[in-house]
Parts: sequence; C-alpha cells; structure tokens
Amino acid sequence: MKTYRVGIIGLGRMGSTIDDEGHAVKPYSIAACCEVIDQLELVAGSDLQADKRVAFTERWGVGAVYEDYLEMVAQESLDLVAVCTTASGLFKPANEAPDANFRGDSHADLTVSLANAGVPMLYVEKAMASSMARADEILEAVKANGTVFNTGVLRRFNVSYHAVRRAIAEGEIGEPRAAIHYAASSLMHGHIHSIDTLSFLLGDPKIEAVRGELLPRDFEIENNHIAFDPSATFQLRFENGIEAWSVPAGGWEFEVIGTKGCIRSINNGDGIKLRKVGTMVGKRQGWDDAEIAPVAPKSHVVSCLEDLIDAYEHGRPTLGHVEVAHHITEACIAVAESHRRGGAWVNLPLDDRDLYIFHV
Amino acid sequence: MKTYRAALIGCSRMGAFIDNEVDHTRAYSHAAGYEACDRTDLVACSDLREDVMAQAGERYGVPKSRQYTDYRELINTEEPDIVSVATQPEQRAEIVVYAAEHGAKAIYAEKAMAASMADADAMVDACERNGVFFNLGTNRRWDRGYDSMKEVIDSGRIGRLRSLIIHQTSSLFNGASHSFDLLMRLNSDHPASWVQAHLSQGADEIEGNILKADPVGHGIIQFENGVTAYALNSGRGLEVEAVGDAGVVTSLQNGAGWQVREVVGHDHRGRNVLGFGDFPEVEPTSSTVHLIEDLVHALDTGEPTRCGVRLAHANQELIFACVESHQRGGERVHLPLKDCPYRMDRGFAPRQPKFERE
Repeated sequence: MKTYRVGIIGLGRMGSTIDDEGHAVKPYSIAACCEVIDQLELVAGSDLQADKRVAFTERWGVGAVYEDYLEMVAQESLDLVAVCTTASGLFKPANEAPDANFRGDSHADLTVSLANAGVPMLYVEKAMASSMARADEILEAVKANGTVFNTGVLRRFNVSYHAVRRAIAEGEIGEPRAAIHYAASSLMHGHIHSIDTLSFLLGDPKIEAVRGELLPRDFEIENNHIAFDPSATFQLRFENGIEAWSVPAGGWEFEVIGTKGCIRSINNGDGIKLRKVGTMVGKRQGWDDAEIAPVAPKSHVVSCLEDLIDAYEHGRPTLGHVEVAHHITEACIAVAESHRRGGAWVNLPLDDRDLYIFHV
Repeated sequence: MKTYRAALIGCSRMGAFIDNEVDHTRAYSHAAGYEACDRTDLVACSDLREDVMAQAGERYGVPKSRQYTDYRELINTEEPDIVSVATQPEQRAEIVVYAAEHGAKAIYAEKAMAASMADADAMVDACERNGVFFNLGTNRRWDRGYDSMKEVIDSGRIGRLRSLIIHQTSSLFNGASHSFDLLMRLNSDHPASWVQAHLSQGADEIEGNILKADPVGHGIIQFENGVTAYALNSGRGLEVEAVGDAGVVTSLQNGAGWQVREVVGHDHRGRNVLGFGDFPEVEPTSSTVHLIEDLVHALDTGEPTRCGVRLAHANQELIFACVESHQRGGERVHLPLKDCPYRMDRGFAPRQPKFERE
C-alpha cells in the first residue's frame, strides 16, 4: 500500500487542536486524522506563528516545521497539503477586515500556489475563496494541474448525511420537491456548509438562482466589500425545480421533502427522522414515521481525506471536487448579491466577480 | 337560556355541504355547526342559486318560506341574531356591511375576509360602529389541538418562542388565510411589522391592480415581538413548527398528530440536543361549533370573540402585503399597508357542492 506524505499549513484549530474541544466524533483535526489513516504520514507543518510551530512539534512529533510554506513544499515532497489557515490570513481573533481596502484571501492564495506547485492532493478549509474572482482562479489552477481537491464542508463527508442522501436517491421519499436548512448562521463561515449540504443531499443539481438577505437588513454593501461575515438567510432554486430555504430557527438540521415522504437530519447530524406514505388521514395520504437503519458514527474528516486518496488513486472526481465547491461558493456569494438588490432573485453565474466578503 | 337565531347567506360548500366530503361526523359547515350547537337555530338561508338553497333548506329544515334569493330581504324580514356569510370573498364585504348596518348582532364570515383592503376597512368600520361581534372562518383558531399546541408554547416548555414555520401557504386567499391566522394565533396575536413574499405565478395572475386568480405565495412575516414566521410551500402539507430557544412543538398532518422536542442534553459547544417529549391528549371536536359557541358567549356576555374583526383585518393585510411585496420584486413591505390598490376579481362561475355524502 502506498503511503502519502502530508503537510499542513496553518497549525491551529483545524490543523492541530480541534480534538480538544469535545466533539463527539473523533479524530477531527487533520493531524489527528493522519494518525488513524494508514496511507497518510504527517511529515511537515507550516505556520507564520512560531508558538504554533513549537506546539505542533511537541504534540505530533513532527520536527519539520516551516514559517514559509513554499519552502515546506520544496523540501518535503508532499503528496497532500491541508490548507487550514484562516480565510483572511489574519490571525484569530480578528473577525473583520482592518480597512475597506483589505481583500485578504489566504485560502485562494495558497490553493492557487499549491496547485501550480504541483501538489497532487489538496484539502482546503472553507470557504475556498472570499470573492468569485479568486474562486475562478482556483478553478482554473486546480483544473489545469489536475489537482485532487476537497474543501472542509464536512457534512458532505459525514456518513449520517450519506445515509440521508442515499435514502433520497433510492426513492424513499418519492421525488424530492423541496429542502430546508434550519439554524441561524453567518454567510461564509456557516452557510457555505448549509448550501453545500442541501446541494449534496439532493445529488448536486445545479443551482439556477439565489435570493437572500443579510443581517442587519439595512446593511448596505459599499465598494464591493463586506468587512465582516454577516448573518444571512437564503432561498435556492435548483435547475430541476427544487426550491430550498434556510430558516434561521433552532439547531442545525436539514430536511428534504418529496412526493411520498420527507427525511430530516436532526440534532446536527446525530439522528435521522424518516416519514413515508402510511395511513390515510381523512381523504389525504398521511406520512408515518418509518424505520431507517442507524448509522455508525465515523470521523467526517477521515472520510474526506480517504475520499481524496481514493479519488487520486482511481482517477475519479472527489465528492467535493473543485467544480462543485466553486458553484457552492458562487451561490453563497450570490446571497449577498441578492441582498444588494433588495432581496431579488439572482441568476447564476454572477456577473460581478469582485464582491469580497471577509470571513475567518 | 336564550337560543340565538342564525341565518346562512351562501348555501354551498362551506355554508352547508362540506360535511359530505370529510370522513368524520363532526360538524364542519356553518349550517351543521348551528345544528350541532345547543344555543343556535338555523332559521333562514339565502343563495342566488335556488337549487342549492333548496337542497340546503331540505337538509337543515329551513322551510321554503324562509329561503331568500335576496340576502337583504332575509336580513330585513328575519332579523337574525347571527349572520353567516359563506360566499366567495368577492361578495363578502357588501353582505357583511349590510348585515352589520341592519341589525345583525354577530357575524360568522368565511375566509378570506375580503377581496380588497378597502372592503376589509369597510367591514371593520361597519362592525365596530354597530357593535357587531365577528369571527372569521379560520377554524384552527378554535381547534382544541392547536389550543394545546399554544399551551405548550405559552408554558415555556420550548423556551422563548423565536420562529414559526408553516409548511403550506398555498393560495393566499383560500389557503394562506388559514396559515396566517394560525401563525398569528400561535404567536398570541402580536401585530406583524413587515412581510416579504414571492408569488409563484404572480406575473400571470395579476393584471394592473386586479388579481385574476387566487395567487400561490410564500414568504416571511416579521412580528413586532421579534418572532419571525416562515410561510413555505415545502410539500409537507399543513404542518406548523413552533421553534423556541429550548425546543420545538410541531403539528403534523393538518393537526392529526403532534410532536414536542425538548432539550435532553447539550453538545460539546453547549448547543441544545433535543429529544422527543409528550404532547397532551387531544380529543377531536368540531372547531366550527367552538367558533359558533364563541360568538354565543360574546352575545351572552359582551366579551370579545377569539378572532374579532380587527384580527381578521390583520390577516387580510398579510395577504395583500404578500401581493405588494411580490409586485415590488420581493421587497419587505412594512405594515400597516397604505393605499393598497389591489382587488381580487376572479369572475368564475360557482361550483356545485356535493349534495350527497361520498
């Protein structure tokens, strides 16, 4: 079995320490996942902050740490690089742009650079870019270099959501007609997940149009620049006619409603409720609770990295390949574009590629 | 104890014959409600279609001499205490205003309240000037199951109410009148501050200021108390979820089932994990009878009814705010509406009700 050499850029939470936060399903950080995946060998790390590099070496026993990621790439013959920096490139806890001209986009900078440097596999934290212009650059670089690519929209790699998607694909709820994401969320940090998961559950049909709004509702976008990651709500219209809503209520749940039932991922992926055609309620067809096989939990980050390896070895697209990641990013940014147009429907692709949205 | 004399204007489906379409025997139509209520007698009826009126008269024991093709003649001759107006919304205001101006003490009007905001304004004015009690036929307001759902919300079991989600908005006048009233009721009838909506077929159904059909819509209603309602057409049918900061209570299958989810733990970030709890037992009863009993109680005591003409007006305003929002490209429309120019005028021929039980 071939072993792949892994380097991590950004030795903070997702790269190294998130397992300390008490998540139910582990491993979670890229470093921790490398310990349980036989084919991955964590060999190097890179961070601009010296204390992070020291802590990383102490925790994972990896001595090859670099301030300059390009030096790491040049020295370490890496097969897989995980980009785990903040999206803006600013150190936490910075959560807004320092000025109206700031357009930091670390994920885009690194992804384009790493793809062009010939790194064959990339895991990139979400969102992949902070503007569509930069997302376009990523799309071009990743495709041109044949880079195998996934982003950290991790519900896409969560076996519980796979079970929901499979049930839908197998016709358990008939023809899907509508989908709902529940929970309030920020646009780029949170709704990149919700839009991606809605798309994933429905089999990734193209999103035709988006409408939405940012909070506060009277927020005005100036100079194609949003200096913080705003809370948002949205609606999506898929090319197959399915409409999806985000309802900012309750905890993270996803529901798909079909012609013969509905299925809902509850408690942030910790359970599934299926309702199918059952007893009649008066003259109407009722939907009764139905059994769905329980899903044994598995680390979604492990699944994501395994998907990269398998796609690389078999020459197939990844589950979150660059075209779908680019499309989901476009839908996410289109929410802000709709807000700018007073909540009107915005057709994809977007005309304006330069709207920048800061996020961490 | 006094028995109130009721008259039915509009003897068709909801007026008299919808009971033939359902699989239960609880009173559903206005006429069946008056028959089932101990405190009311249906004494007269009116309809432009004499064959429909004759069938209703035969079914509910209203003699030919008390069947009127002219509702004015009915009101002037019979002087009923309660007038039911079970016509289509296009004709509603004229009849309600006439009844209120000519001695009716209580009015049971079908939904939607009116075909325009000007009509709705006139109905409010006529009822309030004449001290007429008013209930709109948004029956879930008197449904014991939704009463229990509201009690769960008000008890604090789901924490502070934050959002309401209704999965079927449907056509605005026929369907959303129910949905919006239910949202209002579950939120303790706090006023709405704005509406944002989209009509699925809007461009095809609106000519100038005239709605040529009852448009299907969906949207968002923001209430002044901070609760936001999402009126969807998700395909789940008429199911409504009340989401609090510590749980959810849901009506399933048009009130045939109920579900409570409450906090049973927290995840690693302190976020609620919800488990399933008990919902109170609900015994099916007739919401139409409860609506009529509410009018009777008001007539007995002078106390306000559960709906009243002002809440009916607020419901109507939500409907037209949806239209206005759509016409403005989905913008938020703040309430109250000012100078709303729209009127529904469908011009369709009335359908025959089902005279026999299916």
